[in-house]
Amino acid sequence: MVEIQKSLDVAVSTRVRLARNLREYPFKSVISRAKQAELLEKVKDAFFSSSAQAKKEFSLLYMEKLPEAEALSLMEQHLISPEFAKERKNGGLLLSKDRTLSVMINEEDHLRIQSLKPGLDLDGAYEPAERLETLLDERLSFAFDERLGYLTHCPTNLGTGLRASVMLHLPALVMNNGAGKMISAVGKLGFTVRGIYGEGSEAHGDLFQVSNQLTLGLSERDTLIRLGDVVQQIILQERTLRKATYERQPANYEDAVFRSYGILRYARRLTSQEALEHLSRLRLGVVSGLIKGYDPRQIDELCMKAQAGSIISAFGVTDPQQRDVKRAEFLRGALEPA
Amino acid sequence: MKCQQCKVNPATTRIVYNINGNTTELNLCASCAAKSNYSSLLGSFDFDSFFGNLFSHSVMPAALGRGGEEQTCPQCGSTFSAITERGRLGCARCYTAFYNALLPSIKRIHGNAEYKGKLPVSAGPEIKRKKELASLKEELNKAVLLQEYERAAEIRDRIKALEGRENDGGNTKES
Repeated sequence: MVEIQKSLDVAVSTRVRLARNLREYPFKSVISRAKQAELLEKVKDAFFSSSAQAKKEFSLLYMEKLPEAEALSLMEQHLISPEFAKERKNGGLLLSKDRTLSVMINEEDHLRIQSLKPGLDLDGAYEPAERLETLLDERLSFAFDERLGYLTHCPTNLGTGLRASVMLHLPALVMNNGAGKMISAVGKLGFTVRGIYGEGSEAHGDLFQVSNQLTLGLSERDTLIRLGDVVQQIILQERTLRKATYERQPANYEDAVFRSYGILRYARRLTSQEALEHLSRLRLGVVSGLIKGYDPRQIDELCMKAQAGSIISAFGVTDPQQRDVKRAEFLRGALEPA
Repeated sequence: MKCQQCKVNPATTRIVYNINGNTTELNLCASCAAKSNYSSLLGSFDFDSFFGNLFSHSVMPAALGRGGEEQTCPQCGSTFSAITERGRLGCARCYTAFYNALLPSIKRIHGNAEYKGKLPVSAGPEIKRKKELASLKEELNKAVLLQEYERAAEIRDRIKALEGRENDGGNTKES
C-alpha cells in the first residue's frame, strides 16, 4: 500500500462551513424577496470593499442568472448545496478563483461560508473559512447571543454554526458489509454519516461524508479535534480491511480493480452511477499501487466531472442516452495513459 | 441486498436518517425510491417534519401571554406555533422573544450546553472576558487531570490576572 499525504488513500476531501445571519434581517422562512435582494447587495458591497485582494480573488455569481445545469455542476463539485442549486431566486455565490472558498448568500442561512481542501485537512479547511468570516464580521453585524452563540434559521446549527465534514472513500468497508455498523457507531458519538451530496443523498461510489452533529457546547477547535479522531479511526479501519481483503483473495481484488479500469478505458456508454462505481474501484487500484500513472485527486475530479450537470454544462448534451455516450467518451479520453 | 419496500428489485438507494444520534437505514430500489421522492439528485428528505416533532414537546404555555393569546416576536411577528410548525425561527430576535419556550428543544438537540466558541467583533469586552475566563478554567481542569502542573500554574496565573481586572474595575468605580 502506498502511504499518501493527508490520508488521500481514503480521505477524498475536507469541507468546513460556517452559518451566519445578519442581525437586522428576517430569516429565510420569513424574509421578503425585496429584503433578500437588498441583503445580497449589502453583503456584496461589504465584501468587495473589504480589500483589493477580495476583489481580485473572488467573483460573485447571481444564481438565478445561471442555467440549471451549471448550478447542478456547482453542486456536483460541492461548491453549493443541493437546496441552493434548486432554489436560485436571489441566491448569490461568492467564489474564489481557485474554487476552494465560497460564500452562499441567501441559502438556508443568510451566509454559508465554505472552504474545501483535498484529503483530510480539518485545520487547513477551517482557517481560511474563519479568516473570511472575520473579514465579513468586521463589516456586517452578525446575529449572536452570549448563551446560544451565532443564531441560525434552524436551531440544529445554533452556536458555532460550524459543520465540518470529511468525504471518505470506503470501498473495503462496503465490500465487507460494514457500512451500516460504522454509521451507527459514529452516530452514537454525535457524528453523522451521509451520502456524497449531504442530507438525504445516496452513498454512491462508496463515498461517505462524516460530519459533526453538535454545534453548541464545543468550541470550533474541539469540534475539529473530535471529528478528526473519529475520521482517523474510520481511515484505519478501512486500511486494515483493504489489506485483509487483498490478502484473503488477491485475484478477486485485482480482478475487481482491473475489470473496472477496463470498462472505464473501453466502454462506449456509461450511466453516472456506473461511472462512479468503476471510478471507485479504479481509485482503490491506484492507491493500492496496482494501477500506475494516476493520482487519486485526478480520479476524484473525474467523479465530479462525470456527473449529469457537469456533462451537460461541459458538452451541451441534454438527452440522457447521448449523455451516457458522451460520459464514456470523456472518461476514455481522460484516462488515456500519457 | 433486496429493496426493503417491494422486496423484489435490488436496493440501490440507501437512506440514512439521523435523529439525535439515532440512525436508521432504509435501502430501496430505484422505483420505490422515486415513489418516496428520494430518487432525484436534488431531492432531499423532509427534515422539517422531523424537526417540527422535536419542537412539539416544548412547553407551549411558556409562549402564551397572560390573557392566553399567543405572543408574537416583536421584530418579525412570528408566533411560537408558527415556529413550531415550520421547525425554523423567523429572525434572530425570536430566540430572545421565545427563549424559555425554545430552551427545552434546544437542549434536546444540543444537550445542556453553553456556547463556547468564537466571539463576534461586536461582542463587548465584558463578554470576551467572561468567555475567556470560562475557557481558561476548563483548560486548568484538563491540565490538572493530565498532571501537567507547570501548565496548570501558568493558566492559574492568567485566571488570576483576568479576575484581578474585574476587581480593579470595581475599585475604580467605588473610589
